[in-house]
Amino acid sequence: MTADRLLTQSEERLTQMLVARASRSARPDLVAEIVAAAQATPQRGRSIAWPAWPVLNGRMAIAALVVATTVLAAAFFLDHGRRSTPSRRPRVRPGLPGPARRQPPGLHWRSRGGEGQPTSLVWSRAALTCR
Amino acid sequence: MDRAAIAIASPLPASVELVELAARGDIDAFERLVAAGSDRTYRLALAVLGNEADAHDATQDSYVRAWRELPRLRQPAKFDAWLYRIVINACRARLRNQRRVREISFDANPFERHQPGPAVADTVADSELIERAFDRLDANRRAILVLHYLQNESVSSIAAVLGIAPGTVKWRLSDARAALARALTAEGETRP
Repeated sequence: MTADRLLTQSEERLTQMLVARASRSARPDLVAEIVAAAQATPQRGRSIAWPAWPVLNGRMAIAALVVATTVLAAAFFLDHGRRSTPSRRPRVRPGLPGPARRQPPGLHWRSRGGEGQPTSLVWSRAALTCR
Repeated sequence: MDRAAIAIASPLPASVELVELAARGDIDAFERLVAAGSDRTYRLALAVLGNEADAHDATQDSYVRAWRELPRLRQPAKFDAWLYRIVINACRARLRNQRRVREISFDANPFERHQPGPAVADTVADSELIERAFDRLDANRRAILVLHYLQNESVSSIAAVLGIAPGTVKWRLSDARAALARALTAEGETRP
């Protein structure tokens, strides 16, 4: 039989062959296998079991970073301002007695009668002498 | 065997609701889609590949890929055509990478046992010849012949499944027939 003749008949034969070829059913466990494989596969465009809270945490992390940066910047500028202001520095004169030399100017709690006695807010001697 | 008997000639349309649920990550809805369509899909892959193990793998790969890509499916009503395209692509990839030697069962030769009459023997021999010729074709030609002759799909349906123009489907169908004729000639020459 020539190929042309066979081809003429072949449309029907081809259909029969394909039907016979595709007549077998899938394994019964194929559905379970597919579902198990799908469960282990994340869908595209969908996060991998990430609920909403990490997003909130991300926002919170950014907010915390902004706050921390602001606080650090403020601390830096305040510290810089304090150091660069000469009037805030305690001036120590060599002739003054010991504690007063190291005492910064301003108000201090001091005990008047020794240990266990009430204290009162007094101006330090250094503050008086500095001015 | 009647084509209707194997229930792949006219695929049952998948429920749009199920497809939408599955696209939102509902694995139960996806399981129902698989249960409804896996046999059909498997038979399509089996017709193209001719090997049960490969058809199983191609079916599984196709559904897993479908699951992964479902959120991107814009028209849930066209899920079946979309899935068929994925299956055919999986078959194409499998044929491209196929390196295995085809196994031939000793029981496949009916003449050893039954000694049929000349007419039956010719029919069986012709069917085997056609199957061998079909296996010489590449995946694209196999796919279009399967869609046309086995699934009895219209040109427009084949165009939707393959993502090509109807005119291209007609041309490819004609090309596949011509390739089958050439393969039949080649098989006829090598026939013992």
